[in-house]
Order: sequence, then C-alpha cells, then structure tokens
Amino acid sequence: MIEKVIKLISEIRDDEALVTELNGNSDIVNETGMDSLQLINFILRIEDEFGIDFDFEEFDMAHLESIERFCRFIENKVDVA
Amino acid sequence: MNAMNSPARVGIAKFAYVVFLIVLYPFYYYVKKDFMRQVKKNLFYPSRFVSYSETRPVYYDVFAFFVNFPLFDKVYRVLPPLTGRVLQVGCGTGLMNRYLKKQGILPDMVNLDPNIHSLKYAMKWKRIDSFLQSGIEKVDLPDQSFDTILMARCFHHIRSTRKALSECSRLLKPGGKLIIFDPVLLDRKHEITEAYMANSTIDGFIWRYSEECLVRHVRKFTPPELPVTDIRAVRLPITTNYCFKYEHKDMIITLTKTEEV
Repeated sequence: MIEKVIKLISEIRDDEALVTELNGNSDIVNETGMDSLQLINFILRIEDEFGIDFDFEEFDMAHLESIERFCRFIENKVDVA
Repeated sequence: MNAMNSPARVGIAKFAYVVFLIVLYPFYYYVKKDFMRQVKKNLFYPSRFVSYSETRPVYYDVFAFFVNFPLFDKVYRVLPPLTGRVLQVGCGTGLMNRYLKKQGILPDMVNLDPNIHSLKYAMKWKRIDSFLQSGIEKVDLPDQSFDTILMARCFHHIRSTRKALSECSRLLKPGGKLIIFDPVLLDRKHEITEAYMANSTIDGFIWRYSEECLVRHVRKFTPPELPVTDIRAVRLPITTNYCFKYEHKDMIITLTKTEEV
C-alpha cells in the first residue's frame, strides 16, 4: 500500500522522481511538496481509490505525519468498510 | 448577450457587489484572518462562517441574498421544466421550492439534504412540506423511483462525484433526466486544467471548475448508462457572476438515463 500511496503523490505532484525519493517515513504535509489544494485532492483520490470515506470534521492531521502511519489509518478504514 | 444581460443589469450587479464588499469587508476580514491562521494547522478547518451556517440556516439565506442579488430566487428560471416525479438533491433552505411555489408549479418532489437544520428551517417557512435527510451518495429509496433528479447549485458540494452519479443512475427511470445547475469559474486565462476541491472561507469544501473542466469532470465519473445529453451556459446578471476576483457563469448540464434494452 505504501508504494501505491507514493505513486499517487508522485502523480499529483507530476514528479516521477518522488517514487524513489519518498518512503514510509516521509511526512506527507512537509516532505512531499504538496500544497494545501494538492493535499485535499490527494485525500479525495485516496477515498476514491480505496472506496472509503474520511470524516473531514474529525480528521486528525497527525495521520499525515508519515506515509506509513497514513497507510495504517487507511487499512483500518478499509477493514471497517 | 441576451435581454437578461443588458448593460444596465450588469451594471447593477457590479455596483451591488462593490457596495456589499465595502459593507461586509470587516466581517469577511475577521472570518478570513481566523480561517487562514487555523487552516495552516488543520487542512480541514471549517471557517467560523461555515460552522455557524451549518447550524443556523438563516446565515445561508443571507448569503444567498447577496450572491443572487438582484435576481434572488429568479435565478432558477433558467432551469428546464421539471417533469414527473422529482428528486431535489441538496434542497438546503428550500429557496428553489419557494420559487416554484410563487410560480404556481407544484411538482411531485422529494426534497433531500444531509443538513437537518436546513430542512427544519425550510419546513418552518413552509417552503417544503416533506423531506428526506440524506446525502445523494446513498439514498434509502428503491431503484428507478424518479423521472427527474435536480441538483440546483449543490453539485460543487458533493465530494464523491462517482458515488453521486452512480446513485442518481440507480434512482432514475429509463429515459429519466439528471439536471445539474451549477456555477463555474470564468477562467479567462485558462489557468484551471482540471476540477479541484478547495476548503473555502464562505462555502466550505467545494469543487471549483471552469466550464470545460466541469463537463470533463461529469463525463469522467458518470456511468455509461447516464451520458451527458445537453450542455448549456448562461451568465445571469447577479453579483456572484460579476464579482472582481472570481467571475462566474452558470452551467446547466443534462444527463439522460438510457432506455433499457
């Protein structure tokens, strides 16, 4: 899943180099280079890709502290769905 | 330019925008300043205006007064006739229902909205006489329940376009129509390459698109049995369309459910 998320980020940033530069420890907000609009649209792409819904009102930004942590969060959501 | 967009009417819309801007700027500045500070920490922070209007629908009505000035609910007159059993998605405070009532048009209509405060407000002011509290992503109604589904100025609020259009397809009878009436950015410099969602100060999470991007966005997510069959664009002479920073026009896109083979 980590690879899938990194690939998605590289597509949104339109930067193929990110596929090798990013890893599970990379901070999604501060190290991927995505601006706020790209971050929102990254979240939407994740929802669409994995068939899950995030509650924006309850969304904890700490989930974005690393790609690995965000993947765990997605996995939990997928399991519940 | 049609009669509706005479220079005088456009002039009134532009002048009204300037007046509103001057009068409302202190309020806007207060909300925007807080929003910019908070959104840096939390991408999903709803502005104070968005938070207040969630539970106090009268704020939405006031907002609609300003953005639709001077046409108010006459903006809905550009809609095609609503035939058969109708589902109105995102009825909000029932402004369109009020317009239809004034025109003496009383369609067999189910009013859908996820916000219970707006629905109760619309009931209180007798704009609607029944409702179903739900989003359009999953509606607890049988297949092929409707001849027409209308999304009047709510499409930009729907997060999952794919789920919404798929559910509309399920709910429509063969030959039924989905009408999307939504504002689009004028994008004179062709800066918008695809639809994107933003957290806005006044309207919360909304999709933003140009005319071409909205059509592409709809075509991307609609199921094959619900193709786009008509596209119209008008530019109503209202403040929101003739403001300085984000000029808009109004799109009316019709999708028609294919007849069963």
